Amino acid sequence: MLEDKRILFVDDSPTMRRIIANALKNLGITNYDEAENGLDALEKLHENQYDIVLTDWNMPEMTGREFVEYVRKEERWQSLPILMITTRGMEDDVLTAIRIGVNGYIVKPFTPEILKKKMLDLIG
Amino acid sequence: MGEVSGINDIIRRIETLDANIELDAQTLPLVHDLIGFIKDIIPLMLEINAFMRDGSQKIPSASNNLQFVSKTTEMATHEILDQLELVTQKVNEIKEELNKEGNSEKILKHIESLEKKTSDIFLSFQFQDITNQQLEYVNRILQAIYQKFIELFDTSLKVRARTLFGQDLILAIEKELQKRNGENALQKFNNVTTDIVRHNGVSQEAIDKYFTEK
Repeated sequence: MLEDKRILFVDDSPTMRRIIANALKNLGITNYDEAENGLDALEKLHENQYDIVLTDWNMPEMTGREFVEYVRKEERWQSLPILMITTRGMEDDVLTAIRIGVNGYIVKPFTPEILKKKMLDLIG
Repeated sequence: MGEVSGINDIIRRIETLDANIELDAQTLPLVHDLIGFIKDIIPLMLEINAFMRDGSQKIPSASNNLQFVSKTTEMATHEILDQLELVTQKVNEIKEELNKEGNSEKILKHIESLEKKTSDIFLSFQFQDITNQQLEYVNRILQAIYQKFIELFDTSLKVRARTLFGQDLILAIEKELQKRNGENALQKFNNVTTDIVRHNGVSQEAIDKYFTEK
């Protein structure tokens, strides 16, 4: 179900990008792109069609929050599923994420089971 | 006002002022109180000034240490992840070979278990990103404190420039600090905050060269 999806993941940490890429491969997903911050992600969004975006929150240049807010202002990306994967685990963070239009939220460290479940919930 | 010879001289002058000042009954207690406050605050100012001066010098070094920790763990993490990717690749190749032969169910199970373990190790390296963000947060706090120290120094300079008394007071405080710090307070602070992990990019080759040239 997830194997044929195209995914964009955004994280400023190269370590996290490798970990997410590995986790996606284990889920059978090989069609993915990476971005290192919100600005980079926006460029990729303009160039390609994605089934879901996984994004970190704390990033330089453009944070995950700013990125989501920008994306949600655009008509064509209103229904694009966005899953936030972040170290910010306070209740008000989650509430903010919901308010700005995030569809799913995972606090790091994540497990492959959680990632799979959230992705199936959103695009399965 | 004349040259001030030290902090005790300042306090003595305040006491003289306190003894000789002539004011009405209503104002006198207030002025006595104010003079008492100034006398009390001078030792505190000494401590704050010493801490500001010595503490602020240490912050950039602490901040550099944090950045170094961050870079080191990231490099080490990537080296381990490189190895793990190679292991995963090898395991996949073995699995494919075994699948071709079609008679190695037990070994396949072992390999799948290995794959799971490798994947778990991958995921456990999320610690690097998490600790990195925590270090960055501490670093930001240190930087903010450092900026505040600098602002406080600026304020102290303004105080010094504003009045003759201010100039003399700061001068006297500096003299007193030199006396005190020369003894053990600065020594103690320096011992606690001495950078224990020194790294300035000297290569092993350069170190070896030092030894051969000895």
